[in-house]
Amino acid sequence: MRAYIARRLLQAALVVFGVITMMFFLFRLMPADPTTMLVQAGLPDEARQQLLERWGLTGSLSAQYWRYLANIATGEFGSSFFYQRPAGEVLLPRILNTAWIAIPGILLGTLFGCTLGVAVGWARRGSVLERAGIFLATIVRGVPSFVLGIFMLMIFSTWLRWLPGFGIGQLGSGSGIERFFTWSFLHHLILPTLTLAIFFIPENLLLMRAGIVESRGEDYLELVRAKGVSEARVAWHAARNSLLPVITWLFPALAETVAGIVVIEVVFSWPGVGRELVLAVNRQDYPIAQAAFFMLAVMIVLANLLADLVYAKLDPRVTYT
Amino acid sequence: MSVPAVKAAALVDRKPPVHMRIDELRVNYRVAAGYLKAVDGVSLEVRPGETIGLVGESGCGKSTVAKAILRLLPEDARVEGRILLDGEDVLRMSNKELRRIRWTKLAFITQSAMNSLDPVYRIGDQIVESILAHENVGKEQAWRRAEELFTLVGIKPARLKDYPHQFSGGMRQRAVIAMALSLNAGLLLADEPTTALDSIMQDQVLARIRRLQEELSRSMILVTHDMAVVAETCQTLAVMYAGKIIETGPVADVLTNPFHPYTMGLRNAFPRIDDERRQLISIPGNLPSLLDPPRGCRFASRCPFRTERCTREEPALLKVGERQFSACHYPDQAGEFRARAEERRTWDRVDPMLRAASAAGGGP
Amino acid sequence: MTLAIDRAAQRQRALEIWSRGKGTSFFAPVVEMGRILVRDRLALAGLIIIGIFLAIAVFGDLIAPYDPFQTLRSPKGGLARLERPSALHWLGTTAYAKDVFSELILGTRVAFIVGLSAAIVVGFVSTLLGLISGYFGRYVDDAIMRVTDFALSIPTLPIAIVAVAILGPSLRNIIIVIALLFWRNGARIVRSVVLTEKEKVYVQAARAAGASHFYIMRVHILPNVMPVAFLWMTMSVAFAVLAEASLSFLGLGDPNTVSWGQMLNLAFTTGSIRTAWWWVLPPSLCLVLLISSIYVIGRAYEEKTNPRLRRA
Repeated sequence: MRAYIARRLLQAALVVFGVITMMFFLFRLMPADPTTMLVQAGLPDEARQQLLERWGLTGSLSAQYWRYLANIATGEFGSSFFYQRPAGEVLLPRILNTAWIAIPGILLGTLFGCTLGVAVGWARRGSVLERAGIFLATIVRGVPSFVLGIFMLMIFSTWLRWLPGFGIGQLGSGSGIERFFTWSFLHHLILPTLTLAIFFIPENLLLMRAGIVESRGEDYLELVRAKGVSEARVAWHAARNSLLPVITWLFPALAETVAGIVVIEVVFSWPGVGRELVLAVNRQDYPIAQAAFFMLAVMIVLANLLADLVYAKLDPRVTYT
Repeated sequence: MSVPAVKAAALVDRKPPVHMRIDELRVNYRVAAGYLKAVDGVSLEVRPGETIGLVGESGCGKSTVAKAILRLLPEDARVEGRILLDGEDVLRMSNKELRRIRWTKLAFITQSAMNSLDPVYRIGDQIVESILAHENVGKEQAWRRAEELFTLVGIKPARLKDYPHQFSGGMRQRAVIAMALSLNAGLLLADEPTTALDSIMQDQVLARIRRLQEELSRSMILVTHDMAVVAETCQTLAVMYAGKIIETGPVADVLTNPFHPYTMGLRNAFPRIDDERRQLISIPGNLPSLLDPPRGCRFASRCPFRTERCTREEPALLKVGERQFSACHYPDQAGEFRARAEERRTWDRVDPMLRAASAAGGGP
Repeated sequence: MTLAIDRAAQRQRALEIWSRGKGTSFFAPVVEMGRILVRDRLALAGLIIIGIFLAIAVFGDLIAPYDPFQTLRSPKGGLARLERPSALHWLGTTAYAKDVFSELILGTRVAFIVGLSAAIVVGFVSTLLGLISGYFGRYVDDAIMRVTDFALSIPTLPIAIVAVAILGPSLRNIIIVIALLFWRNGARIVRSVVLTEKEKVYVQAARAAGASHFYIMRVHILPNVMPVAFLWMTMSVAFAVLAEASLSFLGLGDPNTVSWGQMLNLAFTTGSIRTAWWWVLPPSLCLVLLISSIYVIGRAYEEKTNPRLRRA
């Protein structure tokens, strides 16, 4: 088990290293002078040279690469042109904001999606529930996340005026996590989280349903039913086994998941890492863009790692070799 | 020494064995081409404490009978007739009543123990699940009973904490037997309990079933294609062919004096300890289509003794011995048939007959 | 001597078995897919919707009442900004005094250009890489699969945002970036089919008979890969439309044209989504209709061809 975790950690580290290297070349692909990317224009020559050296933009490509690696290893992503502060410092609180909507959103979406998937998969073949469930899921899956966000905004914020759809509201005082426990913040949290959850439902539903349909013919379900347990309990056995392919699917899907988060943050003006990335790109604030992209990539790697460990935990047949 | 103690503790509530009677059971599946008559008018009685063997080729409907008793057939199956468990008709029970009798009166030893345990749960939890579904006991108490059951089937109780993939095929089969005993159900239904096992494991599992029979005296239906298994474990035998019972009676009587040519053929297909010189002969041909079963005797197309009457008139299940019944038009000639059925060339004749028939009929 | 005869006989036999595997036309899977879809009512509806969109994209110039780039004036003389739908402007006007209906039609064309070109590139790249990876196996396979593994763990939209921002927001660059994003899953799917195909008897026989790798791939493996590759290409159209719309919505669309995503971006940034529903709903619904139609089709195809989802 420990060796398995160690091996997965090593793999994750390799991916992160790959992302860092990719970023190095990507940000030097700019058609314009690459140095303008990380150093603000209009500085006096001397200050400019100083900054170039500090951010490793002088010397040969390999020398630049090493300095770049060293900078990232120490958490230096450069200074934001827009905020005039180190990029890491700008983004750290944004990560927390992203987590506030991402974690409950993903959990809720997976929970509802899987539950509905069990219901649709358990329904009689060709029944109204099955056909309506699949049809609706397929349609909702085709709704782009920003369209979903705009619809939610139009319905709940503009039309019904139930929920605010802009920003994170009034935070409390203090520096710890307690400043988030205000009614205003929680009120603002609802709409983006709900949108994210709905965004996740169809894919989970369809996958769970496919798993259930496949496992319905399994011998062990027959035996469970013969034992005289409730039908819900039989469905539970099917669901528990179908959960495994859903988690396997989570792995490649997590990379796509971030797309939903980025867009929804923009729609609801939620100050998270994703929105900061979009703002930075539009402002040509490359240090922030680079750091934000890096953070999102690391989040994916960590989430993948977690998915793998959860899978190993849920499937007793997995051997840790 | 320890076995009687285990027995006493494990089976505190000694329920009486169940009496079961099946009347005219019919199972049809609707398929694109019409109705598939998987079971066509089967009647059967299991007296309390009796072990009955249901034998036939695969596809003859014997497993369908077992599944019908358990009400485990798929939704598209149409089931008619009566299945009386101590007088209560299983086929007319509400889902709630059904849940109540499942496992308390009627337990199931599945066909392929390989796949019949949920792979993601510990075996102990799966046994405990069956106990908790029906009895108001604590989880620990249920677990203790599971330990006793494991001892009873000869597996170390500590292995209750294992997952199914950690068990060998024979152990899994024994675990399934232990599970079937968890509520001391009055009727055990074993569907090919030894088919997936190698011959050594088969013997062990059969010996286990026999011993449990002696000690616990449950009623039991053993579904198998293996005559040898029936000969070793059952008191009564029922032979099925193409959805019908064609011969039934006490095992010893049916095996020594079969009246139906199909039973004679089946007997040939298995080695017998008492007569090692006997040749193994299998019956040529296949089961007739259940979509459109032939008129007359269903075995006629493969029967070496068939006459014109056999293809025209369906034989009824008639009394041929004290408790033996057979569905052949010619019970009087059984003695002669028996002698001829032991010779290979009798059956070799069937093959050209089959070919001629299919050439004439144009169909397979 | 006898040995030579044996070999010749073997070769002959191998050739016989091998010729049995042939005979699948290259476009047979496409025809088969069409047959499946026409039988499924929902998929047929999807096909019809896509057909209508395609017609609009092709004959857009004939339908569009205005030039989508033209700033319009109202009959009273002022700029026709945010006008509600009327006989003059069927779907109203934008905050920039453009005709929504005309923009919508141009957006349809952009959606198809992006969707189809990206899907063709994706289909080509994933089929090629999947074929090579699955067919040659070993080091080639290992190398390609490690690269896809890595590609799969990079967040899609963020990398697209960064790449488009760096390369410059043009339609061509957007198509390139989308193609770079979606080859990876496709290559894996194609590879798994190739892996099962190459173990088939007639492929082994063809190899024994001395057929070239290229020949075996072209004649035996490719036709069997086509259904899967085609399905993935179909889905890629939806992914590409979605990705372009997302990028455009985030302000990274091609400034020289109008796409549905860009329309929504402008509606959003001008704060009009709270007031001008006629500007927001049409592009939203068009996106949902087009993408969902493709998903419905992909789903119908999958349900019919995946034996594990099909039950008696």
